[in-house]
Amino acid sequence: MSQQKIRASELVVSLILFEVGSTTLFLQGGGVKQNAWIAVLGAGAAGALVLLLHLAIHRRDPRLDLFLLFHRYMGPWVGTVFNLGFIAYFAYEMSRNLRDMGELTMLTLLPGTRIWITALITLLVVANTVRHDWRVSFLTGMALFPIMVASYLILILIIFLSGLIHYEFLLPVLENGVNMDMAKEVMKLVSFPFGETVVFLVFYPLIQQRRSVVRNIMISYFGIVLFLAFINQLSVMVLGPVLAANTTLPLLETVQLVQFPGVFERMDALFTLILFMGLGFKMVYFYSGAVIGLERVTGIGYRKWIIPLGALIFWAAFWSPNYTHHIWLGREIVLFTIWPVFQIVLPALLFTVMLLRRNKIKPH
Amino acid sequence: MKRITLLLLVMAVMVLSAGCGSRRELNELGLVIATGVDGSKGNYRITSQMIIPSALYSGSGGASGTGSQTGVFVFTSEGHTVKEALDRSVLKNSRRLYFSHNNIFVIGKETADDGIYELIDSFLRNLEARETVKVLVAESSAKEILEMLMPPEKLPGKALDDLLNKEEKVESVYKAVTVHEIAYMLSSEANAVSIPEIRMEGSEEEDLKTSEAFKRTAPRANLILSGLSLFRGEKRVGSLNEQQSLGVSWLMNQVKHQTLSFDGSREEMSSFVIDSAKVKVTPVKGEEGYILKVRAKANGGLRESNSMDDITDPKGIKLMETEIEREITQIIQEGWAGLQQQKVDVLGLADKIYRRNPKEWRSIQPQWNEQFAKMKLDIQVKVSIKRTGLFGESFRKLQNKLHGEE
Repeated sequence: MSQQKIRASELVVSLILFEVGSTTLFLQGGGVKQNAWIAVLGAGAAGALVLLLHLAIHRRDPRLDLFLLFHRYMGPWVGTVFNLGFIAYFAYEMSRNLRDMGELTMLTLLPGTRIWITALITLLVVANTVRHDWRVSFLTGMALFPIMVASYLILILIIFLSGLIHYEFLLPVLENGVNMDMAKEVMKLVSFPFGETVVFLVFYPLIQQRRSVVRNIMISYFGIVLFLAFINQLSVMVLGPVLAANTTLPLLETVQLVQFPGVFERMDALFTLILFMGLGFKMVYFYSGAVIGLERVTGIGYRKWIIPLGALIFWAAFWSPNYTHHIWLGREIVLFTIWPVFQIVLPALLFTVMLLRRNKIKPH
Repeated sequence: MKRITLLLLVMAVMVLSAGCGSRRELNELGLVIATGVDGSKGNYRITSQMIIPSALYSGSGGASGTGSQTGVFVFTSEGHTVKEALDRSVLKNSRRLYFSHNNIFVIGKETADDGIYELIDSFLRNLEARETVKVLVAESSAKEILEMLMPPEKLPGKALDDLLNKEEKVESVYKAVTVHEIAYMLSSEANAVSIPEIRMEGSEEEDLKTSEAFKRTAPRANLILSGLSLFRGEKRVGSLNEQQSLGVSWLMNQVKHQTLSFDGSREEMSSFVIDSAKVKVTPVKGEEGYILKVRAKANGGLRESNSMDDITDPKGIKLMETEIEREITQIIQEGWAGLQQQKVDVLGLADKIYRRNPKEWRSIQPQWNEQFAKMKLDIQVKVSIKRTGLFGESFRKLQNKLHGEE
């Protein structure tokens, strides 16, 4: 593996793209209706602690990535078991995104095209980016970031200009107080998208200059939280809490309501563009994380793993027999069971072991 | 060299792979500009109004230029569900229907009385059916409305769309409602919505169904917006006439521009044109039940007068303002009385109470319809006549002064 380094700014930009990624696809915190923004902000605060845990792990031994850390501090056997677990987790995340991409394309752009074709093309594009080494993926992020920002700005602008926003849809605030529904939504949000930053533990060691990186990451993280709460609430304010929560693609629905007769109607293309980029980046980082993990575990170069792992991911993407199952699994089950294990429990375990064995094992 | 070859290859792939697998040629498409539904659950009839492009562009442009051909073609298909009825149209139509330009959706009387939830679901679930479609309720059947031409326009569906847009801006008696707005209103606490009604006016409706319509200077029938259908839940529970609809339009703060006639002190009529209006409606808790606080403000100018008062004097203007205020108050009261009689909260007052005080709303929710019917009005209208046009005192008054007529 080459020792190409990346700049801190590239990492921060990628983190933003990654976190925004497919989050705007679904309505976050729909279970608490108009209080969704409170759920997002609450989960953002909780997610900050998770992110700080990841960064603390990185700071204790800044030269090693996630897999090497487990290997070093937990021993070759236990470490390898956990590492394989992480590889499976990243690959599964990637496969879920692949399915999302396929389903989204079918629902919006190409209703007549078979889903495996779009999924296969997507997989090829993503695999090609991964094959080119992470330097390329991070630079791609830098290149596409302005387009992403501009697209979101246009989208927000036209929604505001169209006069579709009903500020009264924000009321009443917390009619039922902070209850179990709220706790459930916050837990979901911590797992998706905030906790998913765990994959960046693979990339932190690649940063060239470490000065003030933690500060920059945290600042941009809070920016992301605010942005996500805002864009999420936008759908609620346009569609109304009940309809927003029951709509498959609330942001698409919102965009579709925008009408400036004669000037522009049907801004769906912009939405799809944003989503493709967001999903694409998520896939690139998860895929990279998984193949780098395989290289660490087996010692065989990561490029050799791209095709076999890709085949596995492709197969896993079609695990769910239908969209409902796919969404149910992804939004109701794994968020409470598998995700927290890899995002919180195992990192916390690793950090504890690192602290306990700090006298025996010196940082690399 | 290798680079150039590669570049060419890439470009070739880009050009070729941006394929046309799902291409649709224009002359194979049936552009639908209006649809309508009749029938009831389990047995729907969908009527589509499709553009005939060749009829539009042949001839020298004028409405009668094409002679015997109408600009649209209308057909009806049946099915157990809305979607099935729509798709069964392939059995009798050669073209692939294309709904992106569908502007108008007409709900027939039978369907409106039977329930519209299924329709809304069909719209929200399908990508090609846009939720920005404007909805009308037909006083008869949707099929009948869609079969009518609207001379001199060649495309009745488009004409209805334009009619609604223009009416909203110029007279503001009715406001176009989209499928999304209906879905929102029905899913809100109020669970009620009002939709403009359309009907055929005149006797010879057959006149409007052929290109004969273009041959008469005054067709013996025409389509007209005629009232508001009130829905509670999925069913239509009643309707309001034009005068009541006007009041509702005021209560919903939809008035943008409107001409009002009002009586002066000696019962002489004058016309006031509203340029801007703002109405605030708040349910306030009183000693016995809720009171509806209505605060309206309107600005505009005088456009016709028979007044015997001196309107060149601020005192005369003040007097006239009071008269207009009385007129607006009466309009609002009429609309409100209509709503109260039918017990349909199309103003979304329930949501206003819920947003302010959710706990209290939950306690009054079960008896809301009764509460609503008992609510008292507290109206204050503030009118300001900004200018009186190009003439001073009314011509009648002037003549009266000169010749002493009465």
